[in-house]
Amino acid sequence: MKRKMLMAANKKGLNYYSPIIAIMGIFILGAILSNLFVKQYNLASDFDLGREQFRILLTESSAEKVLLFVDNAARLALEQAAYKYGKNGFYQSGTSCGNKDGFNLWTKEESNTQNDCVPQLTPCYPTNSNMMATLHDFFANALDSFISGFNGKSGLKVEGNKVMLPSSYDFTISPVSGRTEIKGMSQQPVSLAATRTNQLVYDIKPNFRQSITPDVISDGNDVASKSPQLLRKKEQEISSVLSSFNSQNPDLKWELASYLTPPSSCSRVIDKCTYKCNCVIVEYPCPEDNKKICTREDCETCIGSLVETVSYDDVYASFSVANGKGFYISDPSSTPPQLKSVAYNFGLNWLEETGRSTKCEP
Amino acid sequence: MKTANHFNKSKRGQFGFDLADIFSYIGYFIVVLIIIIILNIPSCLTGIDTKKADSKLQEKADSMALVSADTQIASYLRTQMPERTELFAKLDWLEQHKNFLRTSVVDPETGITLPAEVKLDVGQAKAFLNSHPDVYADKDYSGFISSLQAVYAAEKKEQNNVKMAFKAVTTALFIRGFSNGKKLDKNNDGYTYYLSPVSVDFQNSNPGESGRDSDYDLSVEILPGEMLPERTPVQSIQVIPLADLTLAKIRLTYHPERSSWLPQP
Amino acid sequence: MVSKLGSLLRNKKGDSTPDEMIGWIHRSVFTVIVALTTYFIIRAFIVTSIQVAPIEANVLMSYPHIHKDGFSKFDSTIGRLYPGVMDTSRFTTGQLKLLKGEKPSIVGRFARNQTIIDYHLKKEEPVYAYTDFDRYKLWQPLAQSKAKGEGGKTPYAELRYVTLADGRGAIIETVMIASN
Repeated sequence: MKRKMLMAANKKGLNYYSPIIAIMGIFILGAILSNLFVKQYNLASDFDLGREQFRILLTESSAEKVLLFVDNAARLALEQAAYKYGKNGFYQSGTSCGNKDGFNLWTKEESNTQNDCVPQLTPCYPTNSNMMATLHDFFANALDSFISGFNGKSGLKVEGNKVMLPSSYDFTISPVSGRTEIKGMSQQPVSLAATRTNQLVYDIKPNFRQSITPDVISDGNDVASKSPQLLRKKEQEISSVLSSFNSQNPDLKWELASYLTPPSSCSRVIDKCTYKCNCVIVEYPCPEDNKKICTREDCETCIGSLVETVSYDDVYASFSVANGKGFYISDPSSTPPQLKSVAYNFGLNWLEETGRSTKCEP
Repeated sequence: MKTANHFNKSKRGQFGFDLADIFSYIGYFIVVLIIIIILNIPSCLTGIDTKKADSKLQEKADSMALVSADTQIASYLRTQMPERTELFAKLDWLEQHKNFLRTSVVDPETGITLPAEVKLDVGQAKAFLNSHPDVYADKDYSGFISSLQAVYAAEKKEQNNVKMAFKAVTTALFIRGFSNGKKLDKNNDGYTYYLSPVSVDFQNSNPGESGRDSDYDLSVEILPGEMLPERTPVQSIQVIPLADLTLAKIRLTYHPERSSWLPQP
Repeated sequence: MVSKLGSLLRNKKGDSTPDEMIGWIHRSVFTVIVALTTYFIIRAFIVTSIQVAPIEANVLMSYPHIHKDGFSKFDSTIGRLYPGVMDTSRFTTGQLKLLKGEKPSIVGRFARNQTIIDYHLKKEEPVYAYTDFDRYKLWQPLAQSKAKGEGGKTPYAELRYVTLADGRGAIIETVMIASN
């Protein structure tokens, strides 16, 4: 009986093996897994190999988009500037010689009593520096419009920040054979933040170099140097002169846009003179027949001024010199662009005497 | 003792095994199996899975594709337009080889890619370019696009011609091809040709980055069925100014080439 | 010894028998199997080596296009680089010395091809530039065989359109071979 009880004790003997192994396993596994979570999870979730390199590459890529915009804006601005430069006869606004029907005048001849009706010709031929300054000013204004458009319409955002283009540039117009080239050196950089949280900032100056055909400065010099040969020519003579210009340089096509000759005159006092004045009609018996009444005019003699009047044709000759190039231009700005030919427009004015007369006037 | 042995043996079975041991072993391996399955579900335990590292690499590959797309669209836009003779020679080639161009379209209902016709009327494009030589003369590709906008906006009757000219010129300049090693016939000259989609928006409809190509004013693509991407296509958008002070958006949807098309060492 | 171990794990009411000793053998074996299995499960999820070659190869492919001393047209007067516009005079192996290291683990070959239409209209031969010509030729057969494991070489390739400074287009085929 006691043995059976002992045997029963065997059967009922508790086995600690499984619970101890289980608890040890749970603790060990738990420690290892939590260690992995604490260390490796952070490592792996931030596992961003090449993160900084890619940020730089993507930021550089965004910067290139900005620079491409600036290059395109510069080209369009140069086209607009070339068109306006030619249309305005190489002056930004009017000349001191004035304007006739939209053509800036390069010569103005006037005859008035202040100068004793001696015609005085005022030349307003543009110089090379005039041309450079005009092209520069038109270009700067046009580029400013494009940059304002970009900045206003949020052309580009990097990391949520709007990219703003600077508008302060130093421009240089350089002579390049057959082309008009302009270089722009920005005074300020464009700043792109690499990330919202990263202090890294990418700075780049949006400098540019753009060119278009033709070389409008050389064309301008050519036109300005030849234009005096057209002065004081009759309409028929002008045609032959223009033909010779066209054959000398086939790239430029000279045309007479208009030839107007409104009359004008100038009067001046040249001497004293006498004239009959205060005339009265006197009746008297006719010598032949006393019964008849004859009349005569009795005048006094007055001293007056001898006025000379010189008549002129006030000639306005307008010329347009085309270089065969066309650009799509918005003129006026913000209207749908149209194809406009680049042409150098100018006018010449002079006086041609048509006659003289004198008259004694009170 | 003998009785106890006999009792123990009968309880334990042969070789000292008992049912509790056997079930505990089986239970352990089942649990191990379950744990392995759970750990391999990426969404459950992130950071411990090697696939996460691989997926990060994949993200980087897509970032590189985006950088590549950005540089390619910039290259397109800076490409000088060829002179008339060269441009028309390319267009003539296109006209003669139009049969060899294939594209595809995804059926919106079934999602299946079906072959589609490449709608390219080179004659129409050449006629437009002949009558409007200033849209391309002495310009780069971005200047060409801004000039097209002028005609597109000003002359309503020319809009279809503008679209076709854009398609033809873009295809002539940027189409790519590789030797496909297939039998030559009337539809195959030994090359597979493709062109990643290029779309232009003149701010008329402002479709945005996720817009379909048909929402854009101008668009072209030549994507044969083989272009089914191994990786997700990436998009790059470039903004250019237009003469009337508005902006145009040019979008390139870059489909990375399939591995088999890439050059071998 | 096994039976003594068994008696340590049981209370005093229990007792060891020969069958118990055999039971302890397979339990010990099972314990070892559990320990090893646990170790291998955990080990399987620890990443000890990271494949940097795919990323490095992709970054290096772009490097000559965006570096001042690389392929791209550089205007020193205005300090502008034009990525995507290639200066053909700079597309040389000599120019790629900026990528050549003492013992490079990645070598590259850049091939300048015509666009497909230019190719059909007038075929021209491709122009090549290497980061390390000798090493590339050495690794090329291994990369072609796509050998895996230590000493193996993995190729990474890319196609990219560029415009040339003279206005034409070109396709740059790049192959980088990375050492495993």
